[in-house]
Amino acid sequence: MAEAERRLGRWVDRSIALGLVVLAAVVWNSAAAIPPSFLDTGFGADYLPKLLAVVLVVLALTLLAETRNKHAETRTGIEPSTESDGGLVARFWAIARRPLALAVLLAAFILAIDLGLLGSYPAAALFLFAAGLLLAGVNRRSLLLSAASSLLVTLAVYLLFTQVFTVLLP
Amino acid sequence: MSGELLSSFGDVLSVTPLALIVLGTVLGIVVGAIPGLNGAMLVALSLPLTFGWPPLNAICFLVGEYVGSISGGLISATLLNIPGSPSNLMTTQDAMPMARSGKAGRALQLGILSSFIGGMVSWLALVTLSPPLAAFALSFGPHEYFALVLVALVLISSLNEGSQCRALLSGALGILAALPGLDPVTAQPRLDFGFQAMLGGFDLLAVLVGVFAVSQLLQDAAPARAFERIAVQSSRLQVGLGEFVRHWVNLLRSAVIGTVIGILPGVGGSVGSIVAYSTARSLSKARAKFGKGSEEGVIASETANNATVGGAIIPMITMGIPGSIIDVILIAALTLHNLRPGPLLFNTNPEIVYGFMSSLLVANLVMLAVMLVSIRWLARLMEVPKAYLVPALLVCCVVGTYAVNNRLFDVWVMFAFGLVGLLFKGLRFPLGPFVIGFILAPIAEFNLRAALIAEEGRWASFFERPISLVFIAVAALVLAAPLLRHLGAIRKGSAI
Repeated sequence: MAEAERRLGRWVDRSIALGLVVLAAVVWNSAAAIPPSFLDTGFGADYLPKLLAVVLVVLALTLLAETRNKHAETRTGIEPSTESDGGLVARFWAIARRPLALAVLLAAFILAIDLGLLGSYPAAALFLFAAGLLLAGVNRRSLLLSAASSLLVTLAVYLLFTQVFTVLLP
Repeated sequence: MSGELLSSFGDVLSVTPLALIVLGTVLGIVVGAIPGLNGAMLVALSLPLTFGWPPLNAICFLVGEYVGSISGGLISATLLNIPGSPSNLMTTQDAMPMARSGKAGRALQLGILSSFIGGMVSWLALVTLSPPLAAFALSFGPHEYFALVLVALVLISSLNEGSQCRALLSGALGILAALPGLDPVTAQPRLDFGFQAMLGGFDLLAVLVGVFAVSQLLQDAAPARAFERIAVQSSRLQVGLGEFVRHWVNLLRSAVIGTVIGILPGVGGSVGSIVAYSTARSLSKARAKFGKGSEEGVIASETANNATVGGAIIPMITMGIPGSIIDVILIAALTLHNLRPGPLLFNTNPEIVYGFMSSLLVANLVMLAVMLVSIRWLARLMEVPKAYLVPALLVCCVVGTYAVNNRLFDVWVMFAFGLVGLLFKGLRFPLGPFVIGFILAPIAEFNLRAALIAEEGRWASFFERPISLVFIAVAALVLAAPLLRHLGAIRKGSAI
């Protein structure tokens, strides 16, 4: 493993630990705001959230300690760095680009239905077409296959959910 | 029991349930054979479909998918060197070298027959162990149930590969995700942050579809490596019964290992197959052949991973504790049908309990027949273009999640948990503890509070009851094991 990757790993772990402590504080505050119930026994609605907030802080600290120990263990035998931070980012982007783009398309698909911009079936057809092109690349063959898959899948979903399961989609 | 089991076979072998078992098993094999798709994803995606069905039909379909997906992963493990599901990881070690040396058909048939035998041994364990275990679980009170949930969470966190701390964090975050909504005891709103839609909490199905299906499908969108691909030349049966007699010790040992590991809460096929494979290698006379095309390796791995299926159903139906990740989704399926898995299910809904048992046996038989007959065609499934399959499955996730409650909020929850799942994978946080924490949180909270209220807040009461004490001691031991190992290593180092 290159030094750049280790360094990034350490920063990620520290950020996770910090995020968890913030989350624990939010959970504790939100639980503390719950008014006591008339059934109050001392173990009310706030009990488990508060307990969990403490557990999260303890685990965040353990994660930090684990990261520090790992760092101390590897510091003695570090091999020369073969990759710059920039190379690491490029490699991450090459892997994550398409999943993130697909997630954005999926969010746009759900948003279009939620805001009433499109009906469920036209939105599904558009999503299928765009996602097909995103994953297969844009060329004549993928244009044809994406269009065909978008029509067929939308028709199949319509028949299955509307005719067989009688679900009304927005 | 035998009368109820026989009558359950009568129910399961009628037209609709049988057709659903066949359909579920075939779908499971298909999904298992396609690299990147897995059984948990398929079963989660099928939940909305089964919502309106009679419970027995839903169980038949989902159990078929469970058995099929565990078995189907063998195909890509053998021909592509990619485990179709995590439980086929060890199969790749020897099945692929066998395939490279022109024995692809033989490797697949050995795997299929071993899977069948593993499934049958674990079915026997399910039928014989479940009733006494359920009777024992009837003596559990709130203390014992809370301690049992604790053991389940600690076990799954410790037996996962990677950091124990990350796995425990994942479990804690899973419990946290189950807390928003109305408090189950006082009906007070909590952690809803002022959102009206959050009062009902996060829908179980939306979370499961998001974590298992959406995150996996988004991950599948990443560019894939090119893999060596080997074709199956002949589907003629190349494995004789005599050869299996020769391997009976390995078969029986691996099946028992798989079943026992399946029974451990939250630990599924991957751990079962790793332990069985390692045991077979260390006890084999031909140890050097392991990893280079050993038939013993294929048999051990495939017998054990299928044996975990029956084993994992045991704690689920007897105590309501999932034996594997897919069992979490099966619990969700029962919950959707207003059924609560646990010892009382034997009295209230015996047809469901025995339905699990009989459908598991039938699904194993169907898996054997389908895979032996259609192995050459199944091998072609690996060529399915994912560019069109992934978006189609995402549309099914959206429509299926919406269909259960007719709420778009659930679809957003599904999407958000899909991103959470993707983030967890990227940060090397295992998803298993998260979903187990999520599904067990209500049981844990209810029993913890009931126990503390009854004992006026005395935590010591958990150590005063023998069963609860044993569970807590096991959890503490498992939790402390890495630290003890570390201290042992330090002592050894200083001695040298």
